[in-house]
This record gives sequence, C-alpha cells and structure tokens, in this order.
Amino acid sequence: MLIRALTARSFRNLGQAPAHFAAGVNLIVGANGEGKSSLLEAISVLANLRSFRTVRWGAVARHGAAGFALLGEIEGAQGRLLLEQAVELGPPLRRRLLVNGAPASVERYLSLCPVASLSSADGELVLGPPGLRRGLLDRLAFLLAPSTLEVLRCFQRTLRQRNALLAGLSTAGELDAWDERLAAAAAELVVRRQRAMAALVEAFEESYQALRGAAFPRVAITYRGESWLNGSEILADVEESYRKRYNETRVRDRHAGHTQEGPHRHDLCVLAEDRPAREVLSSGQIKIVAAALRLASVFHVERERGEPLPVMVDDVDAELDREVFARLTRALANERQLLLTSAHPELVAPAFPEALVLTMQGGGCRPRAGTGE
Amino acid sequence: MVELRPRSVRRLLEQLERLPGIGPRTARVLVEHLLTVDAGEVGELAEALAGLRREVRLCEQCFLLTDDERCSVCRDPSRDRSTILVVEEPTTAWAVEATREYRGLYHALLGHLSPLHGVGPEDLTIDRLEERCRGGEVRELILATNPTVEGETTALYIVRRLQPLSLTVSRPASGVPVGGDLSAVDQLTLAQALQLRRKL
Ligand SMILES: [Zn+2]
Repeated sequence: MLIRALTARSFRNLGQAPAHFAAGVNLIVGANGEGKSSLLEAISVLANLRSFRTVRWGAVARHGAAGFALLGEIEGAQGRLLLEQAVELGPPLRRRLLVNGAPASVERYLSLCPVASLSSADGELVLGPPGLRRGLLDRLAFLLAPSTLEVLRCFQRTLRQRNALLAGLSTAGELDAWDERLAAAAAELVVRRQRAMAALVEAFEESYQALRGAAFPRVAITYRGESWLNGSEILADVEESYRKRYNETRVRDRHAGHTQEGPHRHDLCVLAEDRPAREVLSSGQIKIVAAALRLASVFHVERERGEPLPVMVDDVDAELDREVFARLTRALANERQLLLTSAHPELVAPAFPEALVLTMQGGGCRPRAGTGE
Repeated sequence: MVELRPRSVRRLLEQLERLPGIGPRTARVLVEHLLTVDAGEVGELAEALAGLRREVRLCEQCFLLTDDERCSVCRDPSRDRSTILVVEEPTTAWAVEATREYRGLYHALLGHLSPLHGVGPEDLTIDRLEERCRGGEVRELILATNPTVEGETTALYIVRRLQPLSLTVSRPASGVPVGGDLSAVDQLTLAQALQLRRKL
C-alpha cells in the first residue's frame, strides 16, 4: 500500500496544489515553518483520521476556516482508491468520509491505508501516561480485527454510563444490569488486547533487535491488567471475573464516584533489565525503544496483510546519532514507501540516493529539478 | 431586492424547513403545491395536523400510540395474549407489525436506561410491564430493545427483575447492525431476527 497523491484544502498552511509521491523513498526538505511537518500531518489525518501532533481539530484547520478537506489517492493490491474527507469544525464537529466517491464507514476507511509515523516526540510513548500505550495496542487490535473499534466504543460508553450511575442515586438491580454489561464489554476488550499483545511481543523482539546498539540493555514489553485476572485469555472466564469483581467493589467504586478497575486502567509496560524503562534507559535509548514499538506494530500488520505499509519519519535526523540513523534506514528500507522530512538534506540525502526529493516552500510542494520517478 | 413572498408564506416555509428531510427546495415545492390545489384539500391537511397531537395518546395497557383508551392490538381478541414483545419506542412496534411475523401483544418502554441522562427504571414503563406479566396469562417475553449499549442493558435489567416469574425470555437474533435502531431495519431482516430469536 502506498500514497500516490494528496490535495489539501484549508489544512494548516498547505497550498492547494496536489503533492505527488514516489513508491520508494520520498525526502521532503525545506526550512522550518515551510510546511514539511504539516504535509506529513495531512497524510496522517487522511489515512488514520488522526494527527500525530495534536488532538485539537481546530488547530489543524487554517486560521479562520470553518473546516478542512483532504483528498488522497492510494494504491495497493486491489488497485487505486480515492480517499476523501471533509471536516466541518462546527460545533458539532462533522466528518464525511468517501472512498471512490461513495460514503464509507469509519471502520472501512481506517482499514484501507494505515500509515505509521515516527517523530522526535515518540519518547512520550514510553515515558508518558498509559493511555498512549493502550492507544498503540488498541490500534493494532483494530487493524487485526476492525470490529474492535465497536468493542472499544461499547466499553467506553458503558463505562461512562456506570460511572454516571455510581455518582448518583441507584438501585441494586440497576447496578447489577450495568455491572453485567460492563463486565461483558471489558472482557471482550481485554481478550482482544491480549491477542494483539502476543503479536506485538513477537514483532517487538525483531524490531528492537534491528534498531538496538551493542550497549543497549535487554527490553521486554508486557500487558498489565488486574493481578486477579491471572492472565486468563478465555472470554467467559474474564467476563465472570469482572462481573464478580464489579459486584464486590461496588461500595468502594460508589465512594470514589467512578469505576476503579478495568481495561481503562491497564498498561503496556516497557521493562529494561526487568525494571521500569525510565529508570534504566537514556533518553536516546528511550526514543529507539519507542520507534521499535511503532515499527513492531507495522511489521506485524504488514505480515498479516501481505503488503508493505507506508512509514513516515518527521525530522528524521533531528536527534538520532549517525549509527542509529543507519540502523533505522536499514530496518525500514524494504519495498516500503517512506516519507521523510528533514531540514538538513545534506546529512540525510546521501543515505537515500534513489529518493524523490520534494522541496516545501510556503506550504507548496514541488519535486527538485533533476529528480523524480 | 424586494421581498415578494407574503408573511404567511414565509411562516409556512420556516415551519416546513424545520421538519426532518425537508430542505428549502422541498419546502418551496410543497408551498407552491398547497397554493394551487383545492382549498378543501388544504383544510383536510390542516385538520390532520391539528388532530395529531390532540387525539393521539398512549394505550393504557401497552403504551403504543392510539386514538382510544386501548390500542387496536390490545382490543383484538385474536391476538396471542401469552406473548409480549417489548420495544423502546411505540414506532418500533409498527415496523415489527409490518413484517406480519408476530401475533402477540406489545409493550413500549418509552425509552431506555441511561444514567448519563438521568433515566432510571422508574422513568420507563417497567412497573406496568411487571404487572402485566404477573397477571398470569403471559408466558413469553421477547425483548426487542435496540442493539445499543443502553438497549442491551435495559433488556438485562428486565430479565433480572422478572426472573422470579419464570417466563420464557428471548431477544431477536443479531443481523441488526450494532448501535442501530430496530425500526430503521428493513422488513426482511427484522422478520428473520424475530424468527431466529435466542433465549436468555
Ligand atoms: Zn395496547
């Protein structure tokens, strides 16, 4: 799968002219502020419906615009597809998704062309709150089984309903019903995450091996849920455990005003030499571990789908030393479409003699003379 | 530009455009039509609109919409009185009835459990449903609440609450999209879902 072209309307400072990309390596160069990162962000929003820079849609639309639109052409085993999305900021926020001109569900749209992005902010994935790591795992679970999106929505909705009930007045019978529903939703989500986790653990070994330096410590990832789950992966058992537990902890939960246990509190733990990663790894090593986590997910999904997926690296040379950079490019270069940005092409370009070099200037994107497909 | 449309026309256009599925174009076509047809026809439409909210009420037994104290299903002696099909909204019963697959009685809950909106069991017609089930005639309950988080939980709540009565309780089979509304499903799908209902 690869991205052939992108046209943006009212998206940050990007111009209206379409940008065309090559199947192999695309090196997007230009001074800071000319729109390199915005171009990658637009691709991320086009393909993944999310930005790697912000969660505020208002910040994505050009200042003063009522919304934005993206039009992209992707190409995969089934030929070329046209992706379109139009977002009105509202409120309420409205988003219209079209595939080849016909309305498409979020599940279908998101499954078409998952794009991975690496950036210098990735250290947060290891150091930041558990929600970021759960997000990585849930996304992988979704790419392995699109129905996971509905499972996730259902769990979140049920959790909000039970929390509202805990905060107010309720009868035991009413709580029984919500407990049972929440236990079913929690179990379904946990079992899917465990499946995704098994795949991630295996792929992480490979990706970390490819990226790590000689002096790097041993790093392992594990899923951490409630200890009383005992790692069970049988849906009915997990559901029964949660049903019992929610019933037992009802008084405590009511006191707290919310549900204190469940998949919304779980974590994907990163351990270095059996200790929390942040205690052992340097900030440079943490970035490598984060990149390995993202690539692990890409590698596994690629194997499942039987096709390479695009990978974007924002500011590729910023903080990686020469040796790590060489390892990263070796790990990535394999029939895969790469979209790299750099403010220092003189450092990066020699590593990619075949690259299509695109120059960003004032939000516009044009191929550098003498290069191209 | 001078506003040529009289005030009464503008008022009707405004009212029509508030209706679901009617935009400015459709509203204009409707008004042009009403201005050209026979005045008696327009009078009948006006009377129908006025009568809608004046005369329609809820059946005192099952809470379907009716013009009388009891709806036509509750009054029909040929209906199977041992089975009650439970829906969230009265209009869902219309969709079920249109399948011609169902010969029992109905019960509209008039909503679903939703703590986020402050809706608990006492805000629905569950007490009345329990009374009907305790009457002795009822043997089977089909819980056709919507396949949403709230609809599923409402069904669970009813199952637990009526457990002591040992009724046969079932739920229409899936095939109805999750998160959807039963009354929006096509007739064939709904008929199949009713036939393939699963016991709870
Ligand atoms: Zn009735």
